[in-house]
Amino acid sequence: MATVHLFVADLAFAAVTAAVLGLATAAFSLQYAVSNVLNLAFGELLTIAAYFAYAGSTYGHLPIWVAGLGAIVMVGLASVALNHFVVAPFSRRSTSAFTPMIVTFAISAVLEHLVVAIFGPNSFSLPLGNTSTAVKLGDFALTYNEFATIVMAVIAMVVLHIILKRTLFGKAMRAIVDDRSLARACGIRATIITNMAWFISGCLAGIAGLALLVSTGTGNSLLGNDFLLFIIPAAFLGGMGSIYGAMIGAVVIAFASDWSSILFGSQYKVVVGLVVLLLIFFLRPSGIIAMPERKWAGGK
Amino acid sequence: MGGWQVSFYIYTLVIFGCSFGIAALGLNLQYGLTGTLNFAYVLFYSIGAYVGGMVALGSQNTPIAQSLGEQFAFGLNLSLPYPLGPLVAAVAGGVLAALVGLVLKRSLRDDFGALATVAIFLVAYTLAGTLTPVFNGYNGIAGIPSPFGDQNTLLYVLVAVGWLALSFLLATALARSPYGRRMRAIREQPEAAEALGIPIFRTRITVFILSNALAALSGAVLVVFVSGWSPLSWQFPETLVFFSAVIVGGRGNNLGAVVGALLIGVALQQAVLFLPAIPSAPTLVPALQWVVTGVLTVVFLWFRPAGLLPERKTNWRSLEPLSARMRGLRLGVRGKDS
Repeated sequence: MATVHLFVADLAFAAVTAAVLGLATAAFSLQYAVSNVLNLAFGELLTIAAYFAYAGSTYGHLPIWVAGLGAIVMVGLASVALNHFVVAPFSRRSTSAFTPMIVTFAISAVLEHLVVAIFGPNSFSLPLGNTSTAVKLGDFALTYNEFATIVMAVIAMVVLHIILKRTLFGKAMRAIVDDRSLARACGIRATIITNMAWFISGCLAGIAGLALLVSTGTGNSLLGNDFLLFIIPAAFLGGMGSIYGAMIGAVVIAFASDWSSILFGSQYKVVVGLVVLLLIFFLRPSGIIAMPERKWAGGK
Repeated sequence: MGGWQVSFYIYTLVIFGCSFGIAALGLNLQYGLTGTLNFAYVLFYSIGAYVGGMVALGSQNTPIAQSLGEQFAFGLNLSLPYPLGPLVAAVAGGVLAALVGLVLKRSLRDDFGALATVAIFLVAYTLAGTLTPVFNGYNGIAGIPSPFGDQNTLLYVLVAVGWLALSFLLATALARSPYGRRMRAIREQPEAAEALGIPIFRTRITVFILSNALAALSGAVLVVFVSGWSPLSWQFPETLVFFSAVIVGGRGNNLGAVVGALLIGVALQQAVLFLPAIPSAPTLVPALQWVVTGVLTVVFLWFRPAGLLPERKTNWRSLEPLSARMRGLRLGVRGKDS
């Protein structure tokens, strides 16, 4: 029975992980959906969000929420720059998805070490928000920080859903996801729409990075890249390129990894990702929500 | 003492160069020639270093062993005679590669498989760091003896050069053989290659095993010289050094891979030694080195994707020495002798 108490007590933590992971995985999947490129520099977008907020509040003496909002917009712009100046040109020229992927890998190393070069190798701490208990139901307790993170993630998800399904821009974006050249032939300005999708994705990554920072209180140059360990299995589980699948995958991975750490010890938390990956590869390579198989068409 | 230090510095450069050269040759086989993308490459390099180190560690009753304690105790108390250590390491790398390759199966061809290698690397790295019974966690192993004693570094330098030469001969023989043409066919046109009856999966996984065994060998060559190994030696971006070497040197060209390894792995590391040190920020220069490596890779991929030494195009004329054996296959293509 003692274990049940632990499971319930851990529910809040798992829910926060699920919220953050859901945002990050949806953003990662969105980039793949519109550009057909698996962005290995994605983790660094989370990292630089944390550092932008840190720099804004510590060196810029901005109120923390201004620094946070600024960081989210800056990461959105960084994401657009990454697409417009690096990913898209390489995609247009390449005959396979490999070269753009290697380029994002190189950019990932560049960004990670630029952060080290500017801010030094030590981790920084940013005591944020309110860690007193907000909601308490038996063993289930939620601090204000956790509550705020979950609410923020849910709002971001709902906004993303409305953009995708209720606006003309979302329609254009989904058209590009389905068939880029057909969408272009119908007069959709694919370059601009793709850049806007990367902006949205960057903003979501920024929110996820800040939420990670808030939930641990400290950040370092590996903050985002370490999180890829959970993003990748969640994205595979949900079906790569499917945004709603990504959210489902994130919830499964978050709860599975948090609860497994209660059962087997925290060092085995990472194994869940690997086990899920192996299961997907053997049982259902297309993920929960299967996307139609895509052939490399480049960024044309 | 000055002379001794200079010669030791040169030995260090040569051994690092040999180790990186072997690893770049391996990556060139899988990425440059066969077109398989593997972001966990440094994992195989590292398994070779761990295994090569652990089989070389000897009795735990020596003074050095007692002073190092647990970092030494991970030795298998084997003291394997020298050429066996790297060979065992290479086999270990090959076995791990076979496991990973069988999991990735048909995904070995595409970007999803490449993304899965990222996840596999991150999981393996975290486990190697947190599960102390495996490789002693973040403390790693230490005290690995030099194979020919500390006085015979020059002999070991020559042996390392020998390993590089052996690997280079192997890679060149493979690239020039009919099997090498099969690899390039798979890289260029997998569907066409399959239609011609080339067993794609079998070829890919064979090359995957062989090239990752080379990576393990390269780790084993290095570890007995640097005498210790821990997760800090093989972080995720480390794979970029080898990719950068292959891309800058010339994808598909073995000589290019070695030249790239010397430029990126050795020359770029040494060039900054001539910059003035910045005592207040000791990590600035190594961080900027990484930035330069990444930017150089992107710049080469954009402006000179073939690299410094481009792969030689295969045409019928270059196959001329094989013409006697190839005659039956030359459908409609008449050489000058007919």
